[in-house]
Amino acid sequence: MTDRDIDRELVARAQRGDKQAFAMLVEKYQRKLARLLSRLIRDPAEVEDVTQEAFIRAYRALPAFRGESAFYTWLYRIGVNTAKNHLVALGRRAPTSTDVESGQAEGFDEGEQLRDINTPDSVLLSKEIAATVNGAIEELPEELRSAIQLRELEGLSYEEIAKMMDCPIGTVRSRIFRAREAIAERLRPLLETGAGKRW
Amino acid sequence: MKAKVSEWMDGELDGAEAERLALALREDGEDRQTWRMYHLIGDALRDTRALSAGFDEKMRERLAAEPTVLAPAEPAERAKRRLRGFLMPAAASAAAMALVGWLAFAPERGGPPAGMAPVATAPLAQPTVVSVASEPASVPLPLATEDYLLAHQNYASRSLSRGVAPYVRTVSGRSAEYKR
Repeated sequence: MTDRDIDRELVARAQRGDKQAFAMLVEKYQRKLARLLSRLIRDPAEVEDVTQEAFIRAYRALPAFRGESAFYTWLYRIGVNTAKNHLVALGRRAPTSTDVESGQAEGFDEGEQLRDINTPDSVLLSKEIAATVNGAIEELPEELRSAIQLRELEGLSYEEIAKMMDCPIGTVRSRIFRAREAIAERLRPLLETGAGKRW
Repeated sequence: MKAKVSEWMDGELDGAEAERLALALREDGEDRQTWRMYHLIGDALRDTRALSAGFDEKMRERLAAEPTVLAPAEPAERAKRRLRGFLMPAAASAAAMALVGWLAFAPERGGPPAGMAPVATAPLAQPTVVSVASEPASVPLPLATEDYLLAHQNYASRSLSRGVAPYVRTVSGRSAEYKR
């Protein structure tokens, strides 16, 4: 089951009336979509509003989604249209299509370190999260750190990681899980304290 | 269960386990928190900015306010067409299989059909030659040849003429020789 299969399964459930399945897709893609839309809309608060609006429009259009493209590609197109409509409604010019091409939708991940979604609140939270995650990563044993980075940054499958690290797939599975849990342990206090539950 | 969430979101969990997990994650409990947390970690590692604190709550409220969508069932006519598209070739294949099966495995009949005289009891010694428009309908074989064919008919090809083989007089190929 690939990442796309997971999305397809969640979409199918949502199309059968399971709102929670769609909520899981929102949780998965909200930051990624917001980051993309921040290239079209500079105001951080507007980015969040448009991101939410895009998800709502996607939810309403879900019965028409046939799965011919990846869910995120489809969502991204809705996001871009929503952003352009938003800008037109405000009397602003929407960026030309060369600014953000739909082809970027799926590949827009690593290497593009955007800092555009920068409400004071989110900047602070992002800084804290980044510092915590980086600190936790640094403290991980080398084999756990490599496993989680190969998975999250390089997008390698367990089988590919197993070959690279010269260990069984089961070991890779265990290392990635242990790495995530170690980082999560460090993050939980941050997310559940301060100004209430922050995520 | 957390280990399974980790595995599933990496696309490494299949079948019934994935199905069970997807169902379990519908509930906004610990496993769902794990799902959110692991995605947040992935995004943080990829240096994606977090959204503001109220984003999730507002998003949840907006989604909850939406009427539940349901994808329309496949139109009946399209479903019928699809069914026909499957059934017609399937029926044709089944019929072809049945025919081949019958030809290959049908038991040989014990005797001739009603109204047909058994070959073995035909008057071999004095065959009757019937001519139609100067072309002989059948050509008598020498007695020894007929006996030979009858004795060895079980070794004849059984692919298409098995059911009627005992009653076919395989002499037409020889007619040219007789004509000469």
